[in-house]
Amino acid sequence: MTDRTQHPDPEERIKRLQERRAASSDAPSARRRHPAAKSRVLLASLALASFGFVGASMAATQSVSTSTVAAPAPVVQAAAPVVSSAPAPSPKAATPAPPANRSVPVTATRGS
Amino acid sequence: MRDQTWWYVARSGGIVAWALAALAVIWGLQLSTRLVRKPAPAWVLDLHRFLGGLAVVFVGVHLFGLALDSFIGFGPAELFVPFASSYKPTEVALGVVAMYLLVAVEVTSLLMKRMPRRVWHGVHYASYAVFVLGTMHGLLAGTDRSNVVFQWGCLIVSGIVLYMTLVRILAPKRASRGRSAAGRAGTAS
Repeated sequence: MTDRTQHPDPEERIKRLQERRAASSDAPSARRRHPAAKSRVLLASLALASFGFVGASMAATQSVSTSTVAAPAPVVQAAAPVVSSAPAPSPKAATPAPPANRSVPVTATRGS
Repeated sequence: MRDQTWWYVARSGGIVAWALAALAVIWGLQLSTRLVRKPAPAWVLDLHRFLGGLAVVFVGVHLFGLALDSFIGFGPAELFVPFASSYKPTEVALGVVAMYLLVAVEVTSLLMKRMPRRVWHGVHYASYAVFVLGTMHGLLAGTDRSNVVFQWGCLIVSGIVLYMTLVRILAPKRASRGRSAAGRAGTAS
């Protein structure tokens, strides 16, 4: 309203508006390029946190199963000599054990 | 315990990469279906792009972990050539193919303004294959396939993707409206 009374000339008014728009468009250009900038940071943090959490929970589950497997160790070791007398096969040369069963061979062969 | 660190990195990276890729697909479907009205298309598009990029990063982490793990013994051939792995060749190949398709989707999205839209759109449809192949890879080859939480996660996420895809197919008018909004947001950003 005040603009209209102060600058009755429409050309002058348009010029002022264009100047104002140009001045205001410089600052938030970064925000317009990434409208979800904050959400990006949040999401990246969440992905990293879940990566750590999943890995840690896997390690925790593994250590629990190792301790439960290690309990009847004397029985396992009694049957082991046949296996241990043979040369240790390289993991690549042998048929790769499915990782699902990995907790058992891993603790048996390289748990120590 | 310490020698299994890279194994955990590989497994955890794979699961997070799958989750991010699935979220990227869901975000993309939200962009085209506008099932949820509230988020602005520009915000959804920006996050959709970021999710795709982050999924590629975590696929890299997955490969890095597999390469450094001494037990599984995966070399460049097993990591990058389908059916080269002696361990579950078909199931591992699903993951290898999914990785290539994900990279293709990402690269074409980065070069979107420099290529015909029809080509970009055709390649972008491969993201459905990325999701399906990645899910199958996780459920068939992954160590955590017997994990109930992972199984339920796959089931729920697959259900959401299926539902949104059906909405996308069965409501073409709504989808085209969303697409035009996404296009506007894309040109605006």
